[in-house]
Amino acid sequence: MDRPSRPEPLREIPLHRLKPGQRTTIVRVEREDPELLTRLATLGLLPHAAIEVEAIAPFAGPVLVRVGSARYALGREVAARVLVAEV
Amino acid sequence: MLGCHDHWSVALAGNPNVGKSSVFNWLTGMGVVTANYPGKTVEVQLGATRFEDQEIGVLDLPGTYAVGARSEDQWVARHALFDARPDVVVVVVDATRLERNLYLPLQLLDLGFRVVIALNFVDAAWREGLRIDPFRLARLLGVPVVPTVAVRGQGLDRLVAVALREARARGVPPAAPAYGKDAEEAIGALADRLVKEGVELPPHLPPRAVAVLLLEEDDETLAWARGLRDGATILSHARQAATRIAEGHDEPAPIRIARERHGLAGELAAKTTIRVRAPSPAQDRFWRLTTSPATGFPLLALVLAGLFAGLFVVGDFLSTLLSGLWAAYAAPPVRAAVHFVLGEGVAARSALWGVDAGVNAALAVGVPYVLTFYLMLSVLEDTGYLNSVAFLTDPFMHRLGLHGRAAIPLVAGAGCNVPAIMGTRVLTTMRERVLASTLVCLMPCSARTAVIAGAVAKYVGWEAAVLIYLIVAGLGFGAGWGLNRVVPGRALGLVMEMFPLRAPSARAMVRQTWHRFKGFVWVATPVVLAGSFVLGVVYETGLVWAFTAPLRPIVEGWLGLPAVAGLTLIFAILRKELALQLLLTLAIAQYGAGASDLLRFMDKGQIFTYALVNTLYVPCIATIAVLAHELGWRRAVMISAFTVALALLAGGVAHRALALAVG
Repeated sequence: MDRPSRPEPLREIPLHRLKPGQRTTIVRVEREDPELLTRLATLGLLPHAAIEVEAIAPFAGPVLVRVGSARYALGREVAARVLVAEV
Repeated sequence: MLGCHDHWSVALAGNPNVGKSSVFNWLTGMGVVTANYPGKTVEVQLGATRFEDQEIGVLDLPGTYAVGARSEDQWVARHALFDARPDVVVVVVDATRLERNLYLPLQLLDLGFRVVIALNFVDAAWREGLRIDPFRLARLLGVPVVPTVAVRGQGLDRLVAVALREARARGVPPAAPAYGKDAEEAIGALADRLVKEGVELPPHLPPRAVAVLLLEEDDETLAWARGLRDGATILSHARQAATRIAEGHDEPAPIRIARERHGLAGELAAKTTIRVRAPSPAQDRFWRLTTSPATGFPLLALVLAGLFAGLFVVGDFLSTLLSGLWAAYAAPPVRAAVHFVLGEGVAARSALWGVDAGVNAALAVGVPYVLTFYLMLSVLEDTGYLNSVAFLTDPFMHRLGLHGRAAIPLVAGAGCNVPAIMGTRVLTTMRERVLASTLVCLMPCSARTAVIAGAVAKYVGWEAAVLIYLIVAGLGFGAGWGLNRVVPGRALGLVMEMFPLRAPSARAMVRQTWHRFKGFVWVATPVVLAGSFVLGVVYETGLVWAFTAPLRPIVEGWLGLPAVAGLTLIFAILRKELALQLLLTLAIAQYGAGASDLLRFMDKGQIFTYALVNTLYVPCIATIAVLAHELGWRRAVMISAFTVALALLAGGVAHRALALAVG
């Protein structure tokens, strides 16, 4: 017998787990660090913002993302706190 | 600084790397004054220009993304704006990144400033296939928009004329941005409340500005509100408004406001920009070349090697050349003059330490290395390659509590510590600057390398010289790691905009290099001269030998070095190369002519220890001067003390380890 399908909750993963070339949207930024939150908000890295991962530096290095017409390098520990929709 | 009839004040604002300095430099020419807020290292520059018989004061704010109060550059930008209250703010905006750049002017309009937009890099936008309609943008934004190509001076005449016209239009209130309905309702309601309650607002801030600041939970505004008589009421109104917004959109009010602003900026950019063709692949190719591991790291190694070689080789060459020129042409007349005035005695010889040796030191350290480094740094910064360096090296720097941006100053330190410490300005927090500067001091500069080569490699062997480098490197990493754990404060994660690749303008680079170099001359020269003079007095009066007894326990007891070596280490603060020269001079004075061969009075172990201590303890006096200028005297002294302690520790351990190895 078929079970009624339940809506899947949005799967979120940390930004640094994406691969270069993948596009997604930001779901949320972990809240424990208000300073980081403000910095990211000023730059437009807000929930629902569309981003594209352009490069990931080796040796656990920064992630290069494109938001609109701007590109940002986010250090690994910063990228780990930005949760995006799984692609 | 209120503008009155015939004298106007203009502030220049904008994101980092939008060409704001080109505008400022084009406007102001000579007579630029740099100003600091106490305790802050970010500077503002003040200049003046004339246009149509009007005097215009120009205030160059630090490049910032916003004018909140959280980071040092934003704090300085905001306070300078509020203190100066310019008649108009010219916001320089990068046409190739419009929606990113429009955030700041929107915020400035929220704060009630009159704004004029300089739409810069229109040539680059054109090449990228973008067509922007400045008239439409002006109409939608409600402020004048002037297209410019600042680096070539195009459009700047018109910019000034428009800014002046805007400044004159004082009676007309400046346009305020129109955000989404909910946000505007909340802002409006709070602003009305403030007016109704008759609250005395901070000077020159309209009610809407205060409302927006309260909703953004701006620290300084909240503190102001708490200090009011009706503070509690105001704050509760603000909280109510904030809650309404938060509930409506499921996010806190400050984030909502930021989102509204970004949204409006994006909308304005979209409505006024057309893309007529795909962007040229050149930008992407540059990024891929410089940041992908396969090509990025080799290129990085090449660039860093070039930086190091440039400082080491070119710097060294210029240094020798200048010293030679000084000795040949300037020193004789200077000596003659001093002897004429002061005679032949102690006073004259001491004075010569200051005006002859001291000036020589400033010339030999400053001009070759600082100038060369700044030129190279300009190229790296203006092309955008500095960002690629930071991107690739960040994880390594992170273990030292630093960011990738610190890689350049650290490598430069291997050439000369002085410009390297000034180069730590590319770092954004004081904590990083202090850590980076300390590590730079531990980098063996070319002068100390000269001692390692001239003493250790020559008399002990090249393996011993390499060992010194390894020890110093190990101590450097250890110090970096340890300081990161001990120094209060946290390392903030790297959040850095990678701005587009740009061809640097030779004129702008030369101008910037010259400006920075002048800063160095003003800062270092007095300290170097004064320090040299003091050392001269100590030496010429024979006071120097009086130090032998007190230093004996440390120099002979702990480090195992002859007393003469300890004395030269003190004097080598003037210039580290002197560590070798002075050693020979003082040794000959004490032991006789045979001492010119170091091994006659020092054994190999002692030479090794001597070079090690020389490399580690505080760099030359010019470095101390620059440390004090960049970080304050207290920190300069602490860093110096740290390196001295480290040097003594390493020297003592080396002495004992060598004794064990040999014995």
